Amino acid sequence: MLRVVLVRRELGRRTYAVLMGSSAVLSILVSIVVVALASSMPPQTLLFKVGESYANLNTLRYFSTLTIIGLGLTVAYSAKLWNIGAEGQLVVGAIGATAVALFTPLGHIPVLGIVVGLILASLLGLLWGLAAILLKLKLGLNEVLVTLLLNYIAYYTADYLVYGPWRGIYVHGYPETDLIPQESWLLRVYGYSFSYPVLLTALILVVLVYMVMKFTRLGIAIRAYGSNPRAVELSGISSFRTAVAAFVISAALAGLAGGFELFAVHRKLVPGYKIGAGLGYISIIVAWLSGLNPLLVPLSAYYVSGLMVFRYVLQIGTVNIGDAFAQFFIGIALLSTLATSSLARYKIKVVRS
Amino acid sequence: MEPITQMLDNVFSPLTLAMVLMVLGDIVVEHSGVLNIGIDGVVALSVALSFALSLTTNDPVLVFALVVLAAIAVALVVSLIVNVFVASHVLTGLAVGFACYGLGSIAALPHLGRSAGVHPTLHWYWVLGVSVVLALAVWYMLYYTKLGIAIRASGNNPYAAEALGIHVWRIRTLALVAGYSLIALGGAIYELGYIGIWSQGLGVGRGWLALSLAIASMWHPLAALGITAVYSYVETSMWALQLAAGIPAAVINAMPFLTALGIVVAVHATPVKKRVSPPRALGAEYFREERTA
Amino acid sequence: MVEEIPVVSVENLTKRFPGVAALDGVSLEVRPGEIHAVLGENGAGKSTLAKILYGIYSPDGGRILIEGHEVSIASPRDAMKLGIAMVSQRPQLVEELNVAENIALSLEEIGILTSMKRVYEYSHKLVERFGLDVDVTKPVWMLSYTQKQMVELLRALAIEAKLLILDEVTTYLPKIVKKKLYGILKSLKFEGRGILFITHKIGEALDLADRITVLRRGKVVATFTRGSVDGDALRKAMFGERYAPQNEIVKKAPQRFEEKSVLNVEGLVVLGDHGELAVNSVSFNIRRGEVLSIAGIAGNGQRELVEAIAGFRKPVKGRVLFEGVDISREPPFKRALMGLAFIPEDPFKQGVAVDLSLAENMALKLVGKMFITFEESVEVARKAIDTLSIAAPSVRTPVGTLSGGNVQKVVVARELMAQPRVLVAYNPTRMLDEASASKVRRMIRSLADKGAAVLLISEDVEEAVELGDRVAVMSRGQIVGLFSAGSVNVEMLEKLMAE
Repeated sequence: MLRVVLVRRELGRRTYAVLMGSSAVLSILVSIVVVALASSMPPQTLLFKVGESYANLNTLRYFSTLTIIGLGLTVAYSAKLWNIGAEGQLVVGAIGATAVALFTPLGHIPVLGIVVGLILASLLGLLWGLAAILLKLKLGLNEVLVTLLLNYIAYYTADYLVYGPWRGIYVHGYPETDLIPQESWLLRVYGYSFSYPVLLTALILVVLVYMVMKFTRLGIAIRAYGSNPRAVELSGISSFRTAVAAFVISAALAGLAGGFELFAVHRKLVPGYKIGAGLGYISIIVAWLSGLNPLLVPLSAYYVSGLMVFRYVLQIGTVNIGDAFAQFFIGIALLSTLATSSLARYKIKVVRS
Repeated sequence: MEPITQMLDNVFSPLTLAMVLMVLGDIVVEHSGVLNIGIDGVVALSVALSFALSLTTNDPVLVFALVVLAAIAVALVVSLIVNVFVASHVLTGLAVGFACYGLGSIAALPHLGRSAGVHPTLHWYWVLGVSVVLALAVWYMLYYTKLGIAIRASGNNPYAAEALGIHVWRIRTLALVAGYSLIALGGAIYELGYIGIWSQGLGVGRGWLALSLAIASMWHPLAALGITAVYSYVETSMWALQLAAGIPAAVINAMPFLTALGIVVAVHATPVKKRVSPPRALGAEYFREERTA
Repeated sequence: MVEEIPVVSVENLTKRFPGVAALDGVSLEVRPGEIHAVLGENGAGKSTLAKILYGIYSPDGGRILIEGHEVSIASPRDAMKLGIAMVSQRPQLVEELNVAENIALSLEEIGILTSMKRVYEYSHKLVERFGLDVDVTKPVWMLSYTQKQMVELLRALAIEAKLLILDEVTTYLPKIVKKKLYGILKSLKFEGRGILFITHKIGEALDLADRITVLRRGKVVATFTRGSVDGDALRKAMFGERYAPQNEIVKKAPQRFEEKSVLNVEGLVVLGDHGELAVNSVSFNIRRGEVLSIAGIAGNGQRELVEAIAGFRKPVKGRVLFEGVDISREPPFKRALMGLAFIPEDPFKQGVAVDLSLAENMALKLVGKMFITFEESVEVARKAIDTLSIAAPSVRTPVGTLSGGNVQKVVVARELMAQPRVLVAYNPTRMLDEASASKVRRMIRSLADKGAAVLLISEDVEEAVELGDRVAVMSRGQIVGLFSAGSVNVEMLEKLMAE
């Protein structure tokens, strides 16, 4: 009788990197083949369009947001705390930013309005995450389920606001708020959809998060927590506070990204699923593909951003299958990453018994 | 008699049957310990696939059979990655979900704009009958047969289950295959029996709804039947309710999620916890060789 | 004369774990209708033997024969199919299911779709037949530890096994229950079944067994038949010759200690993972500069005791006082901040963050600032490496890749370098070679000389006697003897441990 047996093992870093790299390339190839078959577009054209998309500067619009959220998620995931709620945290962040911009006089004050809006956005995101982590630590609730449910509650909170009390006066019945005042707009680069301040923030955060995780007591404690919470306690540090810190950092960054989405992209509050646009979920994959290394997040964010742009390019007749392809591809990429990192930890043997 | 049959039509609409199938399928999967984050993908895939297939063949049985087959394939992939590769249930679910969204859309987009080629008519007594029979069957299976005990053992303590002689991987694969088949049938019925047309993104979120309803019923098949029927009724009557009570649609949409959250919190915060709680090993990575007896 | 075919026999069984031969050419057999006791102290290999027979481990060498046929046992399922059942000290049950359901899982003749009615009937009959006081419809989590063990036994009996293995099951069972268990075993004997009874308590072996095999360090010392051996002979076989004569009493210079104690444990009652009374009202004091050693064979409550003192387990009764302050409810990190250091038994699972580097593990505890530069963490790591000769390719490799002994050194170094006022050490030298172990013992001694209070829990009796100013013995969750170092020898302690 045959049996499948797993044996733990250690792989060298170089071997691991090679494995990850080849799985990334393989994913692209597999997906291209599938799409080529489905769309009857010759693979060369497909490859060309892929290249075009990656070269397009509009990738930076996604890159910034995905990097910010992705960085936060690497912090939470390093502590083995599964924050699936970045989407909802982003949405409540956007809600907070809207509140400042539309309903306070700060909305008309350049720079200050945006800064305060971003602070409130981060704060609301933080609180949204705090609820989940407290429920986990105090009551033992699975944070995956809780954050997932909170995502939907966030969506519908935004929906409630834009269909109801916050509905714009000048929008002719559309479910959205009025545009926020011009002074609160983060300007985009002419001709493109991205914005320098957001990009800059993202890059600064890369360095900041890396430094915190590597060189501060908190960062080391967070990573230790993910490996063994007891080791944290033995070192004289509260594992409770460490877990909370890791989680709310990721939630706050997602909220911050939500604020940026409002000020730089939408400039008004729209229904939940449009504001989130799945970016919170996609960031999970960005964080994972980077191997939880903050310095590699820009790389995986760019990898995914190219895909996001590619969506608009992929037409078959009148139908755009770009979204579908992007989703399929992201799924396959993540699956092969999972298989690869598993192979790095275990050897799979088939034995006779 | 008219208003009563009208109400029965609303409570036991095709939507109800679809949701019941999805929720029961999710319950079977999660009782075995697999956190079913892939559910939304499977639903979206079966919605899109049933739409596309209905336009290539007129045989409803064939359509359903093929959709179920596709779901079984997905279930096997999930089982492989979660059991053999010992990957995180969450990430596997997300990955499979995304892939399913994509695959479904790719299959259905070429037919965009047409309406489904198969329209099963589902009267309320049929929906009621099937839902009740199914819920009872799942309930009986889970609590009164050895298979069900093995499934629940795998979801509570896979290590002990293995020591007691259960092959946890096999049981989980079985649960996944059975559960995903039910979920896919639910998706197909949602599309062909309730909606009838297709647009990109149709069905996305339905899976999460089913997941929430499963949580709200604490993974118990009979409770799930009741809760799902009530929810479906509310959803189909949403517009009327809105006018009557002035409740914003967003609030009604949020209800299942709020309820699920409330119930889970309440159960964990009270001594009820041990009596009615989620499968203890739900979502935990199970590394078979690391047994500690 | 008809030769009896043994129910099970193992020939030359060998099992190696990294660095240690747990079983080294062990041969023994269990005859039908025989209670065969396997006696040994820690690390003797008796549990390993049981796990191999039950399919949890696979042997590296040797043969297993069931009723004369050679077999290979790859999983508990295989073992059960072959007619082998095992009950261990920790119940392996699915707590959320009820008793009957747990039993049903093991029964072959209950097909996958069989109705549960038959199972309930069958379970009822079993309960009656063996006179056990258990409600089969109750979920297992509701049962007491003793009842859970009874259910485990029931499950083993249900499969009508040819061989019943009992692995250290009696440690926490009350006397009445033990008597009942003995009665059941005797009736199994009459049915011609074989029983492998694993224990470290000499008295039990003498009470029950037809034959006793003593294991030491993975080898069979001897097999005795009933009536041909007494407690002393068994003890000699179990513990063997020491390099210092057992009956020598090591004279120590009498120490003068302050009256006030630094660590007080008062009436501590702690439950184990399955609800058993792991620590059954333990009290002691340790004064400044004093080392209290607690000797004992593993599985008698030591783990739960240290976890309660370190803060990782809540006691149900009693108090722990640190310099007069009641810390019984404080989380571990607060105790660490107050100056309590803890060297746990398993450095991988309880002591270090295996994914982090050596430098980071050390720095987390020893560099008290918010910003930790690379140089600072390397510095503390270097100090640790030098003090204990830790073999690590670099201070930056993940600690989990180091060998067991080296990881233990990391934990010891980290805890001692924090200059604690109270040290709780649980088997601190278990994975170390002799030279390093001596070094660590000297470090602990000098820590005490500088004024710290030390609680040393050691399964190495000699170490306990060498380091301790006072020595206690822990058995069945209680302190069964407390001596000052100059008035006790190893032999006396071993006697208490094996009672």
